[in-house]
Amino acid sequence: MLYHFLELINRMIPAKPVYAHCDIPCGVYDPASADIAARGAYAMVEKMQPLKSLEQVHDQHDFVRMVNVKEEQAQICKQELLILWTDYFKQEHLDMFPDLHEKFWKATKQCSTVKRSTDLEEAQKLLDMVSEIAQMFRKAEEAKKE
Amino acid sequence: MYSSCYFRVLDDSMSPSISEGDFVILNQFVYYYRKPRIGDVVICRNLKEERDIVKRIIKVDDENNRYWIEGDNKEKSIDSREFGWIKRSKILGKVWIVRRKSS
Repeated sequence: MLYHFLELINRMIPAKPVYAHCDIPCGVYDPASADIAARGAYAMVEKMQPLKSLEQVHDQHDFVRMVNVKEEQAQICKQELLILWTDYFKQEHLDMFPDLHEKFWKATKQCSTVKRSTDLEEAQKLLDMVSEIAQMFRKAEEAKKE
Repeated sequence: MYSSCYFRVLDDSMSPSISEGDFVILNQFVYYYRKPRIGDVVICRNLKEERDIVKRIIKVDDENNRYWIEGDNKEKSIDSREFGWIKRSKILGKVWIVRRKSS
């Protein structure tokens, strides 16, 4: 009950994030978290498609739950992308990826678009953008080993 | 007085006690009438003062007023084992954990 109450409050006054994982930086980064969250948002949008008529109360109930999870997962994706952008990637990576800032800016914007939208194409765009960022991450990691 | 009183936990370095998505409510007042104790789950300001982190107090150094904090998920947690003791001033308060029910 209290959890659901806080979820309701969170929609109006967002809770401040608190990390069980610190920001020292600790050197532990992985785009998988953003990828999982983007896939979660996509899955919710996909599940919402057949429910758009909302004729049945049960469908309305499920739709609302899916919207909540979509919102949550898109927000997690945005936060994970921001961690990678601000903490992992450094100045030297701009030489490797001249469009790095633009890719992250567009991907975080796309997280907001997915929150506002029930369009499956927009959710797919987010998946593709996160995938591109994951590729940059992998290349950056490989470059470290050289 | 800290401006926020409720937080949402990201990541799972405090699992199984706290999972990602759980809420925690900050009690800033309890440490006005007693000191932080071993076992308390607390929110701290990290060294760069950009993020708040949630950890458990494992050891107390009363003489120097400092604390050793660790995450319950030892494998995933970055904590005092990496950055050492933290000052009392970094502890914002004790938390009440509001867990998500499994659906």
